Amino acid sequence: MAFRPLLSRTLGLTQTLTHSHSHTLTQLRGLQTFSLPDLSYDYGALEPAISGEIMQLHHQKHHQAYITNYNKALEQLQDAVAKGDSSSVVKLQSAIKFNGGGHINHSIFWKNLTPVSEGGGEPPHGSLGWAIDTHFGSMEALVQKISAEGAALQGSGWVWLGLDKESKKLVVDTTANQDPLVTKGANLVPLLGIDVWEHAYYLQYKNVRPDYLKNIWKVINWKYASQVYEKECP
Amino acid sequence: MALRSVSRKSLCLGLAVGQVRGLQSFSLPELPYDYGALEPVISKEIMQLHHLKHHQTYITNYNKALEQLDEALAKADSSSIVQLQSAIKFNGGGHINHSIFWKNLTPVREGGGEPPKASLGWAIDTQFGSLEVLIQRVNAEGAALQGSGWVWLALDKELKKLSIQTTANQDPLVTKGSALVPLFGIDVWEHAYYLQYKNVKADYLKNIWKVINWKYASEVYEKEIP
Repeated sequence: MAFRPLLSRTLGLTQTLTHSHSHTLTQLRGLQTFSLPDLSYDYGALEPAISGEIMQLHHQKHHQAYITNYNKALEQLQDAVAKGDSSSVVKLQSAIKFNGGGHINHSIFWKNLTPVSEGGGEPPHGSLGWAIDTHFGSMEALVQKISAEGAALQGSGWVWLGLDKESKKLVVDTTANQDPLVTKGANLVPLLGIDVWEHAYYLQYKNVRPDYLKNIWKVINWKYASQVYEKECP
Repeated sequence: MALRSVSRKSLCLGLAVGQVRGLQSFSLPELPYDYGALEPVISKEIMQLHHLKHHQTYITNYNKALEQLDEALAKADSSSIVQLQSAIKFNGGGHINHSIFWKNLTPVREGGGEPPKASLGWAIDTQFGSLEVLIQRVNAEGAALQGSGWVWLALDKELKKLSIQTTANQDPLVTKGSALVPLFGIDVWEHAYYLQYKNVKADYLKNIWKVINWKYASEVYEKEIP
């Protein structure tokens, strides 16, 4: 899927030989480059909830751009660390957070969606279904809460169903821009995220974000959310 | 512009301390040009949605928040008063920013894209080297903006200096400095360009200069620096 390392062992060997003669600073050698994960369904498979045009642009343009810029920022970070250039190291954090966050968030998002024919929209059973009823009263109440939070989000961001893996409690939360859920709490594990950036829906729903939020539930992959939940709460 | 109170007599007769009666409702300003007049730079479809839907929604929600503020003030409900500030800032900011934006644009046949002359043109050359440099800087800032926001050509009316600023979401320019006056702003929310330019924000920024109303920017500049 997403993260395939380069030939780090080969690189590591070469660098050790060179370094024993010269550098003392810690270097990030064998830097992994990230690449675009494949979708497990066709671009048009989520229609009519999300159009094929949106899925294609969202995956091949937006997500790819985050990955390209993330790799570039990490390369620049590598150079800055090598030179001991703290000013650049710190300056790069914004690009790393934004683009790395974009890569993290979208990688999760593609797994949060699945065609109706693959179970999209089928409510969760098992322990997650029970936890939702316990924490929120009902599935309907949860859906309504997430949709309301998503609609109310000012600007660009994400709305999440998260699990606090320490307290074992479910939470609904939002993050701004491409901030990953973990920025809202180190113990938060994303079960499901919905992208509410305008690019996620505008071509199809125009300004009517609530309609996008109403329809996306038809293709939400609750099976995946349950898997993540059961891994943390066996 | 915002809050006109009714006569003091009415206030003394009925209302509790701190109430804002005769609250003005804001309404959608008209565009001084047709929706299709900025084509091919900005499509008619975008202009129509942007004005009739997005800007109108900010106004509707701004008016609603101010009404709720009115009630909260009447009850001296500080918790609600403070809670409402987010909606007021976002929607009021959206109204402020878009009202400026429509004036920052004008059809080519009305002078859209014609470079500024006189004092603003001179100030740009002095402070940036040339108009091309300014444009390149504004585009770079706009392209680099993370998430939703605006890129501005600002005048610090105290220092008499131009600067390029960005604001997030619907924050007005003044949130970056109380002396800052917007000469023009460019909306870089995705709704401002996506239907036409898709993910290629840079192309939107490259093209928008063809319809920038430098005459209006010069007027604002000359008002502050006569």
